[in-house]
Amino acid sequence: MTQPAVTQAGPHARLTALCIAAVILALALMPYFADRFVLRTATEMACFLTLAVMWNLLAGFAGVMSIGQQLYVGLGGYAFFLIAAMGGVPLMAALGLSGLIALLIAVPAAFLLFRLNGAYFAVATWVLAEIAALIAAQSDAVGAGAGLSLPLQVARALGNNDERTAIFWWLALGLAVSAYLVAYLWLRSGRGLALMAMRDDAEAAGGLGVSTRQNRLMVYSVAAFFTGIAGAIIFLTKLRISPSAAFSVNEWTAAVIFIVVIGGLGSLEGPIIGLAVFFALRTLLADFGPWYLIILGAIAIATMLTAPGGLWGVLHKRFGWDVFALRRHVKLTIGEKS
Amino acid sequence: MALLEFRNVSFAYGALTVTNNVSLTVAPGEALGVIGPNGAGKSTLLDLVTGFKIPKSGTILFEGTDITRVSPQRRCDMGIARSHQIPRPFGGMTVFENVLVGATLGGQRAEGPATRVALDVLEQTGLMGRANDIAGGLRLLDRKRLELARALATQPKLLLLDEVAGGLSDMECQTFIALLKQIRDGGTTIIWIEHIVHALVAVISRLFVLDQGAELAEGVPSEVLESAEVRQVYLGVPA
Ligand SMILES: Nc1ncnc2c1ncn2[C@@H]1O[C@H](COP(=O)(O)OP(=O)(O)OP(=O)(O)O)[C@@H](O)[C@H]1O
Ligand SMILES: [Mg+2]
Repeated sequence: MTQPAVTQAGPHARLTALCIAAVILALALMPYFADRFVLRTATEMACFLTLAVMWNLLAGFAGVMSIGQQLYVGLGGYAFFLIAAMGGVPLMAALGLSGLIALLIAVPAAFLLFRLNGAYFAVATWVLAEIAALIAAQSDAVGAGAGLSLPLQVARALGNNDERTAIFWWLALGLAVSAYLVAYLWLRSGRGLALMAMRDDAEAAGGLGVSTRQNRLMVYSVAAFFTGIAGAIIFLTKLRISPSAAFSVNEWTAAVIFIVVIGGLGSLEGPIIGLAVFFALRTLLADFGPWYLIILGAIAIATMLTAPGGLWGVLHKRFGWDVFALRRHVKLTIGEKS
Repeated sequence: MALLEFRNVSFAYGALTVTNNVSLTVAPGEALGVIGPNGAGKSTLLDLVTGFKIPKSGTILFEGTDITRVSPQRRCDMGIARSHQIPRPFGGMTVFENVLVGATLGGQRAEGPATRVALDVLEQTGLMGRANDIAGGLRLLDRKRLELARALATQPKLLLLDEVAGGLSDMECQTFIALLKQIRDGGTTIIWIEHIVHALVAVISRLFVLDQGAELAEGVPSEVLESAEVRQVYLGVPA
C-alpha cells in the first residue's frame, strides 16, 4: 500500500518566497529613497522585530517564559561599547562578539534558571536582569550610573550622518532577517518539533525521547545571542548606554511581549503584525503619558482573552493564510478523510 | 535475561506508601497484564518504569542495566514507551506531528524514515483521517488512540499501556485486541493495565494483581482470576 505524501509547504510557496525576497530587497534599498526619520524608525522597528521573534521562539514555541530578556539587550549593548572603546575592532566583528558574550553568560544562567519551574523561572529571569543592572550601576569601569558614550571616532568612522543612518538600518535589517531565517529553519526541522512538544507537555515530551534540558539550553542561548546583537545595535544607534536604559524591563520585555501577544504567540507572522500595531499605537498615544502603557496593557489582556492566537491567529483561521509554513501536512485522499 | 526487573521497589508520597516492596520480572516478548482496584498504584508502577517517578528504595533493571535513576528521555532511547491513562497530547500540534515526535526523536530516526513509521502507525491505529487535526481538539477516544500511536512510533522494546480500551465499542475493542496481538507477535514486550478484563486476557499470558501498592497475586490469568483473594479484593466477591 502506498503512503500519503507529506508536505511542509504553504499553498503558494513559490509566490510567497518571491514576495518575501522582493520585500527584503525593497527594504534594503530604502536608504536610496527614504528620509532619515523614516530610516531611524525602521531601524528601531527591525531591532524590536528581532527581540520579538526571539521572545516568541522562547515563549511561544518552546514554552520558556522568560521576562528577563532585557538582561541580554543590556549585556550586548555594554559589551559592544567596551569593545568599541578598545578601538580597532571592525564593526561587524564587534557586533558578533557582543552576541557571543551574551551567549556565554546565557549558558551558566540557564543552568541556574532551569532548575526552577513556571512562575519561579519567570521571576528569576527578571531578578537576574535586575542584578545585572545593579552591578552595571555600581561599576566604575562602565561609567556606573551615568553609563558610557560611544567614542566619537567610532561613530565618525561610519561616515556622515546620512551614511551612518543607512549603515545602522542595514545592520538592523540584516539581523532581523537572520533571526527570522534561523527561527524558520529551526522550527521546520525535527528540533522544532521537540521545542513545540516541550511547550505543550514537557514531561510527556521527555517520555518520548525529547531532551528538555538540551533543547531549553539551545533555545535560550540562541535567543541570548540574537538579543545581545540587537542590544548592541540599539545602543550603537543611540550612541549612549546607561544601566536603566540597557536593562529596562518596560522597553525590552513588556513592549516585546505586547508585540508578540497582539500579533500571535507561537507564529512567525505574528511579530510582524504586532510590530505594526505597537508602533502605530505608540505614535498615536505619544501625548498620553502614563496612559499609554495602561492602554497597551489593556489591549494585550483583551487580546489574550478573546484571541489567544493574536491577530495573526484570527487571520489564519479566517482565510487560511500561511506566510511561513511550519506545519507538516499529510495529503489525504478523499477516502481517508473522516 | 529478563527485559525488565523490579527488585523490592517502593515508592511513597510522604507517609502514603503507593508502591510497597514490589518485585517483578518481565521476559522479552512477554505480555503482562496488570489489574487491581482503583488507587492500587498501577499507574505509579508505569511511572517508575518510565522514570517519571523515582523509587524510594529498590532497583529497576532494563535488559540487565540499572535504570533506577536514569532520565525518562534516556529510557525512551533504550526502548521504553508508554501511553498515559489521562491522555497528554501535544495540544498545539497536529496528530501527525504528535506521532512524528515519537518516530523521529523517540525512535532516533532521520525525518524521512520517521515519516514512514509515523504514517504506518497512523494507519495501524485508525488515526489517518485525523492526521492534520490539531491534537488539542480531539475527543477522548482519539486522544487515547494518539497515546498508543505516539508510543508505538518510537518502536519500543517495552510498550506500557495504561487503560487504553475503556470506552471502545465491541467492534472497536475486537479491532484493538487484534492490533495488540499483532504488536505482541511482532516481538514487542507489553505491560498492560486494564479494567476490561476480557480484552486483557485475550492478549496477555500472565497477570499481576496489585492491591494497596503490593503484589496480591501473579500467574496464569485464568488461575489468578479464580483465586479467592483476587475475587474478594478485585471483583468484590465475598470469599
Ligand atoms: N500527587 C499525589 N500525591 C499524593 N497521593 C497521590 C498522588 N498521586 C497519586 N496519589 C495516590 O497514589 C495512589 C496510587 O495512584 P495510582 O494512580 O498509581 O493508582 P491506580 O492503581 O493507577 O488507580 P486507577 O485505577 O484509579 O488508575 C492512589 O491512592 C492515589 O490517591
Ligand atoms: Mg491508574
